[in-house]
Amino acid sequence: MENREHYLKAFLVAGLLIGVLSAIPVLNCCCCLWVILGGGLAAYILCQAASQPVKPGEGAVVGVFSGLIGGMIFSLAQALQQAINGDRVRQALEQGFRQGMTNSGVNLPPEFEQMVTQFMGVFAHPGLLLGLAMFFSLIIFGIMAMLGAMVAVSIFEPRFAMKRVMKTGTYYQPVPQSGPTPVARATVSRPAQPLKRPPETSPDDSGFAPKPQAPSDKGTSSAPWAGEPEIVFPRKPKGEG
Amino acid sequence: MQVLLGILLILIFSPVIAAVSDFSPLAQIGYLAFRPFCHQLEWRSFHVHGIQLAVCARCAGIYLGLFLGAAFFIFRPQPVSQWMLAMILLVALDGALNVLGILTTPAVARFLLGLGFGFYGGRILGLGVSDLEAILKKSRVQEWKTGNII
Repeated sequence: MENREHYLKAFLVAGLLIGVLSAIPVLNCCCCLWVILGGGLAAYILCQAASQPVKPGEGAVVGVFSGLIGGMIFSLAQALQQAINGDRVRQALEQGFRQGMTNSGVNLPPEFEQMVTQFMGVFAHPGLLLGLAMFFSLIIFGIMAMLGAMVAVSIFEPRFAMKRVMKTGTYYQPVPQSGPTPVARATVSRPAQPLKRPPETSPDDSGFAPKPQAPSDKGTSSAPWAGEPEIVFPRKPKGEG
Repeated sequence: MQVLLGILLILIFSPVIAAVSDFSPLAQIGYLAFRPFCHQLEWRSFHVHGIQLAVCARCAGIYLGLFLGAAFFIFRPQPVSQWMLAMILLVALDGALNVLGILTTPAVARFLLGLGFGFYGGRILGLGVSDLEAILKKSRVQEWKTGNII
């Protein structure tokens, strides 16, 4: 999710295109073509704008969201259409139901027919139809747009990656993180100075601790750390575990 | 993903289920749901006991292939080959030739072409979903390490 800042532009543009082209009756003649192409467009925009390599999962996210936005626009257009032609849909549903009853050899009593008419009136309500159409449209739009985006990522990403390399000189640019890094936290929790055992001294009459005596010349070298106090690590007494 | 594709498959067969259960609105829902995505022409669709399915033969192949391809990716997660592009081109070519009236492909051939396209498409979908899961898992771990949980 390193190209997160480019997601919004990609799926808004592509989603708008999907919704508008799918909702226009004359243009909607190629099944899922606009949805797949819209998903591909979203992936293309993402690959073009990205500063980091685009992963297939990122293409899937952009495709799904562009499909969802396109599906919402399409569903709104369908709802408007149903609101205008609601009676026609209700009649078609009633006719289908009666046909099914006739085929199965069931004779409906007049009271039941009235109930059926009321039921169909509720069922053909624009709100309910909007809900059902929106639900199934969103599923299909999301899946198809995701498919288009995944194919487009596999096609366009190598080309834009090559352009990125030529532009910046590197394939991958590390992203600066806003929060404290794990390394910084480890540095803070670590003690600033290594543990040293203080030299064994006893305060004199003046109340000040005497300076530690310089080591004797025997066996010493002229190394720069020669004057430093010796670091003594505590040892485990014998006999313990 | 599998659940969603399974729902779509059930929806394709909803007219048959509606005829068996004598519940006609179910068939109407199926036809209504796929109307924006498929021409639903009678002579290009499969019929089960004389009842037309909710989509045409090619679309039925595509949706069945998507389901099978995504299921196949779960058991054998392999990178997708170049055959996907070949299947897209074949389906597009077949569709264009049929629209122009140059060729009339039989329903079984259209179903098989759609099945191939859907199978590779399903594998690509599986790849995308698994990669997305990996990215989300990684980003969650990273947020936990850096303390940027909110």
